[in-house]
Amino acid sequence: MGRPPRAPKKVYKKKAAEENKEGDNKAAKAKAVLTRGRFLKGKHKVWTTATFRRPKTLAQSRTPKYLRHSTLKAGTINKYSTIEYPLVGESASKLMEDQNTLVFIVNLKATKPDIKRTFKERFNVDIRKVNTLIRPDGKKKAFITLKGEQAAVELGSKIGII
Amino acid sequence: MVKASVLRKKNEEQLNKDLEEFRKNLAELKFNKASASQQMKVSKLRTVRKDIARVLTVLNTMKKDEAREKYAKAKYQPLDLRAKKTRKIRRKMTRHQRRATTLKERKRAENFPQRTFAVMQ
Repeated sequence: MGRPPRAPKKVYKKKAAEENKEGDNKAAKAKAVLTRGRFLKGKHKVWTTATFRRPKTLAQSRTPKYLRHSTLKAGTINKYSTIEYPLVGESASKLMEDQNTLVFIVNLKATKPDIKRTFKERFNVDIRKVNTLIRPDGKKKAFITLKGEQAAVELGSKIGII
Repeated sequence: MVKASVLRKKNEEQLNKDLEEFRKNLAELKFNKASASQQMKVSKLRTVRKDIARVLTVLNTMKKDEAREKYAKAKYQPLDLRAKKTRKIRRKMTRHQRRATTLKERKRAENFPQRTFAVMQ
């Protein structure tokens, strides 16, 4: 009634090896793995540190199937948007005469190098330095010191500040 | 003041040049207003701003139309070119999906339609 006794493991392996001597290499390998088990004892990765760091894996760049925005809209930032208008007044004129400095309201997002660059492009003058501050009413004020003796007064009269 | 119909006849390059011109104009006007040394027509500020807006509108609509032509046959369209409708409607099944039936259903409907009977007087 009972099943015939199973052949002990060693014999199994021998049988498998014998059977596939001539046959498919792949099949033989698969069979061998099945009989002996997938993980062999003793084949161990050596950890040399106490911490486990996330291993670096393949990082692929995106290849989207469709664009999220079809067009780049024409922007509002342009070379005329950094410097908005000059400040005129007693303190401003004083700075112009004494410190060779012009005072402007500039875009809040403008940085000193931005201001320097656009100013040079627009008025063709050399700039010694730019100082900025943000007024309490939220606008940015730039103090632009020019190079050359009377440069500020000249430029000021050209613009119309005087 | 420019008319939009005039702008639409121009190409992108010309429109960009116009835009540059208008912006320069506006910057000068702003300077004049601040320096207050000369009399100026403050109403000009508004017209120039609106002109810039008009040019930008024409530019952007041109670009959008070009994009629509370009992606007309594409399998996946950019999101802003797809039908807007409402969020709910976009997530619903398509008309085709809703009306889909199995072969079995169709055969049954064909062979065993709803009969109507009437009692004859």
